[in-house]
Amino acid sequence: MTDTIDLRLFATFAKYMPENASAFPIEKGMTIARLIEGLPISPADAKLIFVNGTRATLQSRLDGGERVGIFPPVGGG
Amino acid sequence: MLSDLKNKIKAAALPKQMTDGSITPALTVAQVEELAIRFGTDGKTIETAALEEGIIPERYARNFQTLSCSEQVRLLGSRVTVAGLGGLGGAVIECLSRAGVGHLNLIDGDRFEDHNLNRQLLCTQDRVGLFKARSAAERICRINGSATVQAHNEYLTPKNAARLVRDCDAVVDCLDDIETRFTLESAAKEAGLPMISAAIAGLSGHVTTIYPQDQGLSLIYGKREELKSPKGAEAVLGCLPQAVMLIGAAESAEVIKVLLGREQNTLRNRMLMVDVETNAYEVLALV
Repeated sequence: MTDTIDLRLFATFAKYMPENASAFPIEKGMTIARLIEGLPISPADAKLIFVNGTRATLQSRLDGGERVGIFPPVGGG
Repeated sequence: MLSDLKNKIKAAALPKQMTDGSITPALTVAQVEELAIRFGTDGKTIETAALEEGIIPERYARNFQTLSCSEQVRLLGSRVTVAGLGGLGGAVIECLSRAGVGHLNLIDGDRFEDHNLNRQLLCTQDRVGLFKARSAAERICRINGSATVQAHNEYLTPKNAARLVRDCDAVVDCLDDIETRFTLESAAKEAGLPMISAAIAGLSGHVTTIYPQDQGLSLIYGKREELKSPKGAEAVLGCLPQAVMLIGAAESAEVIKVLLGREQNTLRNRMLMVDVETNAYEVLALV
């Protein structure tokens, strides 16, 4: 069964935002790690992940309908 | 001595109309300086004594009613350590010294370079090559002669962190590499101090407030020992001034809330995430 999420990629990941990011298809129950496998992003660089405004991990599962934000480490001043 | 000082302050104060229409006794900047010289003390002492009597130093007139006299006194009595005096640090010291934070302890061993000119308020063409900490101290003195400053022209390291981060009420992380941010966090935690941390890359950035018992930076960067690089996405994207100013202002707001004991309004265990390009402004839960 396929559903969609609202996907946001930030900083160095922003250039990989897919055109269908606001309705990005997922498989219900898939992990964030699996989601990232389909993107040109290294999971080791995806340090900060948010699902519906709350910090999540690579192991967090998606049901569809979530807002997902993924950041690389940001350290500039 | 204090009652004599307060009597002289009362005698010098002149009625001024405040923004709410009320008439309140006030002291000009020149009067504060003159009284400080006459009593052999600093401007901060004069302003504190005035505020305790409900007399407003005019430099803070536009802080009222949002700040009460006792809150302004609290800021004047506060001591803040700012580590890193580049883009974020320059914005933070500008804001804190104007708001009336009484003492700033500054740490940065770096000197200005041409590539700082795009975003660092303290960096002007005539200051390229000069120490950032010294420039910050001079800027604070020009903005608010009542504040006191200590400037350390040295980089923060695990060896000197405990010495540099002490005797203050809050620590502000305006550093530009992730490894040193962890060093600062350890020192702040050991000293039992809250730390406000912000970081930028390109047009994005984030701010959070960390109390000593909180998980803190590991929630944002992962475990310190697993860091792949001391630098983040800024190594590729640089740091743009519009993001730096906004995040620096948000970081300053956190510092002031911490100093005033308004912990419930802070970003403790939360993170303000900003992307000025896409207008993404969101407060995210870290725990």
